[in-house]
Amino acid sequence: MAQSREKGREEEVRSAPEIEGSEIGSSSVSSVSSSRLQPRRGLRSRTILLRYPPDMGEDHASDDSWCDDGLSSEVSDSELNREQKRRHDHFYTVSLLRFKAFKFQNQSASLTQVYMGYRDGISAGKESSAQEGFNIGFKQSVQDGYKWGIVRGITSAFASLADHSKEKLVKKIEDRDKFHSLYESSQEISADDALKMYHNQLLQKSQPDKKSEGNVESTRLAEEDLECNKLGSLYIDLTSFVSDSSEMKLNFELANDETKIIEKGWKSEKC
Amino acid sequence: MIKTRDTSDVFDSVVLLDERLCQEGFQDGYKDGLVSGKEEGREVGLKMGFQVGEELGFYQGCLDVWNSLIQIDPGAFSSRLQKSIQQLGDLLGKYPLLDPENEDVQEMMDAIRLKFRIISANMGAKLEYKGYPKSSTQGMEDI
Repeated sequence: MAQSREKGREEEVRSAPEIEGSEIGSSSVSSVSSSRLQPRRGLRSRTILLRYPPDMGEDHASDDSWCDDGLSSEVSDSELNREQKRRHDHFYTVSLLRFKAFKFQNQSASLTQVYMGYRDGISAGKESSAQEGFNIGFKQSVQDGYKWGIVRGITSAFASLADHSKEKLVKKIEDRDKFHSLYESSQEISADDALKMYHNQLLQKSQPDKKSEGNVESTRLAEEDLECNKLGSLYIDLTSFVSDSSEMKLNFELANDETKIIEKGWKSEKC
Repeated sequence: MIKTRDTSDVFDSVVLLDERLCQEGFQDGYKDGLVSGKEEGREVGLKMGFQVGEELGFYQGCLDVWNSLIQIDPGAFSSRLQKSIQQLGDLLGKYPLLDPENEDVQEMMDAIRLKFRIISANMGAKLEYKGYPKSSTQGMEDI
């Protein structure tokens, strides 16, 4: 009984066009060795052979009865394609069915796998790009910070000098007063304030179109403008003032290359 | 025998599936992580860069004033003080401002701070960089 059914099945298998000789051999051996599973498997393989003929392996991706998760269907596709080439059809249909059952039980498990992989990926990606980003940011801001520091340094050092030294450096009394007022306005800005101002200034630069958004917004932004550019305008005030009216020789060496460009930027923003 | 191969292969596919899912998730995450890591790093870098730049600029500004004064009036400071000012200038000139990855940066900053404190103490001037103890050092430690 079992023998005759097996014969019939084997013929059915032979009729499939893609099957290679060696695989047919292995299939007959396996069918014999696992003959007690035969009735059930025979039944399934028949139906599935019709639905998934071996030469149309690509098609089972379109059948969403068992693959409803986009990500894993891709995986199982390639998995199954490999199986298909390597094996006899009923083996793969069995594994496919088991796989399907497994997938239904483990939907959440596979999502967890994806999520865990993603989480690891995020931290690995961050790790490998953080230094690069840091260097970019550092180089962008170090010049601006340096110039602001020079303003603070010059005014503070000047203010701390004895009066007769001040007179030697800056001849006119009104220029000395100007220096003093610059000193006071730079002292009003703490290091944290300066950082905040600089931050706002950067934000503003990155969103220049915002200014056109309504009146209320634009007045508010105009105020912020003033605030943000205070650092830059103090620097410009000081440098032009120093070169005009004092004996000081300033060393802008480190900031020199970009000074002009940024000054221009600041000036145009001021206008 | 063939049956065992069969079952092990079934589990293979299951195990491989897990690995593949994990890998795909990892790759997606890696891509996103690259973007967000760069952005986060940039923000930290902007902050640090501004602070370091400000502090060094401050010292440089002081140095400029002192040097200008020495040019005009060589007797303004004692020779010992002038030597210290000279040394501070050397230290500042050597500081790799545009090389944040340089490992000597912290040491050099400490040397500069020390030298500056010596100078301002010798001058009897109440001169200090106000942003320094909190923001700069704290910032370094945070990172």
